[in-house]
Amino acid sequence: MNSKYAPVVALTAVVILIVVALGWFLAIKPGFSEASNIKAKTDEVNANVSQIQLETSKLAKYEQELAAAPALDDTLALNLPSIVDVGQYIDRINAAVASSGVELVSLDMNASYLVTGWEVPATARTSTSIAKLFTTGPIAVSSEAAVEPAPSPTGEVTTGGTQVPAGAYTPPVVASVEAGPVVQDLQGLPFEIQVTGSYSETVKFLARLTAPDAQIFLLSDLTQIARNEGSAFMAGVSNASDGDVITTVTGSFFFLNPDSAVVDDDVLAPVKPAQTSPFAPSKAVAAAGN
Amino acid sequence: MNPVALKYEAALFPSVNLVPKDIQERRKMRAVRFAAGVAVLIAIGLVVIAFLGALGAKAAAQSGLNDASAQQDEALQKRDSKAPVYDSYVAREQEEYALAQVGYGEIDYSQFATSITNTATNDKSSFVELHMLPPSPTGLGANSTDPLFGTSVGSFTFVANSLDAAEARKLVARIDAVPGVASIHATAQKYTNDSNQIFWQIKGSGVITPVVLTMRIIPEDSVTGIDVLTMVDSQDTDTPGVAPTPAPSPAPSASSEG
Repeated sequence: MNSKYAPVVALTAVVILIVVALGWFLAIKPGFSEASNIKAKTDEVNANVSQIQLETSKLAKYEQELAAAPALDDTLALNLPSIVDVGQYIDRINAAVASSGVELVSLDMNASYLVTGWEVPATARTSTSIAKLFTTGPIAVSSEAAVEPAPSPTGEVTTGGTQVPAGAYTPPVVASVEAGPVVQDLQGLPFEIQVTGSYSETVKFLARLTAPDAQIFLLSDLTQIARNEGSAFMAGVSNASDGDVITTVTGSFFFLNPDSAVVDDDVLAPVKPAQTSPFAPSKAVAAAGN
Repeated sequence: MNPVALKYEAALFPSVNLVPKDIQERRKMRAVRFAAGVAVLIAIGLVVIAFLGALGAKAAAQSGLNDASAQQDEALQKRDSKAPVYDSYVAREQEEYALAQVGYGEIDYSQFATSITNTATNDKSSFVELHMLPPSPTGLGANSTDPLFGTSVGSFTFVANSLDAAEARKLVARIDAVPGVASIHATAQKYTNDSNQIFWQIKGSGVITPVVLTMRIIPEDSVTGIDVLTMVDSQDTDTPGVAPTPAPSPAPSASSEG
């Protein structure tokens, strides 16, 4: 090339190089780079959507299984009610005594007690598995600063590397990570019943006391002692004969989430004492005393 | 036409460039400069086109991200609307565990006790006392057994009178054969005077096995995965089912003989 044009050509080449370089580094590359980042974020969000949809389908399956399971309402209402009806229990025991032919020696209702529920690790509970399905949060798509994902209730990092702005998402379900009883408020009301009678009468009594069509009366102690002829006198019951049995039963009725509310809305009306002292012995007691 | 000119591809007519050489040089320089300017403009144009392409790619990517974000919100809303499923399962767990904890200890004593007394007693042996400690929601009823003989869901002790030691030994064997009891063993034996009659009295104990548990109120189709049998050792599979008889004689045998 003619040396007179070389500076012009060289200058042009330099200018072109500068234009291209400036354009590439200041406009083109950042643009494509940002587009690439957005696409990567889109892929991440799509993966998160797939994960959430998978969790939703699992929840739907759990929902269907529960809907298909036999209802426990009737069984619970009968066997583990929330209402305590002591009168009904006394009636039931008396009815079992009367219909079986045994004679009631004593009937004691002892103080109720709290039944400690079976300890179950949180990880072994189905509800914990379900709670884990709610731990995946949204991936932030705005330019706000992202934070590390909060640990899930089970101590695991949320699925899919979730990154959400602080406070932007709260899982609707948080399961307890502590091992503990599933049943929190199960209470028992114990009765101790002593009856005497023939063995066949005793068997009938036990069958009727624990009849399956009534609230479960769960025995925790059963003692049967022979009460043959010549055995010690027992007040209020027939004399012993060979083959008789003294049966002592300790059992409980149980209540799930018992309702202990006290309700007494009536107003006490003014009254006067009766002519007969309420502490005077009744005729039957007086006769027995004589 | 000049054939020589044709042969050498020369101009047909002779010509003379009358433009001065410096003018020619300036023209050429302008042309070079113009070409250089065009090249620079082309380069700028290409950069602008590439920049617009980048902007388009970014806009398209942003649109895709917005769509994905909308799908994500929709998916989250749909999933979170199923939060009541968790509450339902928590309630179901409580119900199933409560029924299991209370129900697993149930025994049909009218059948169980009768099966023992029917099988064990005869005119040479009778019971004086039977004491059963079945399982309950608060624990297994096994606190009266010697661990050497094994433990199970419950335990029971008995006192019986026999005519002699051999009959007492047979009594123990018969009790041991009853489904629902195991590890029957005598703990004390001696002569005793009962109603002015002499008997060989035997005290013994054993365990109550899970085969007598009715499991009546325990949900068969558990949705929470509870397995009650992990709480009680499953052993035999036979069940008692002996009907009670009118008088299975807790009475002293000798009395009935006499």
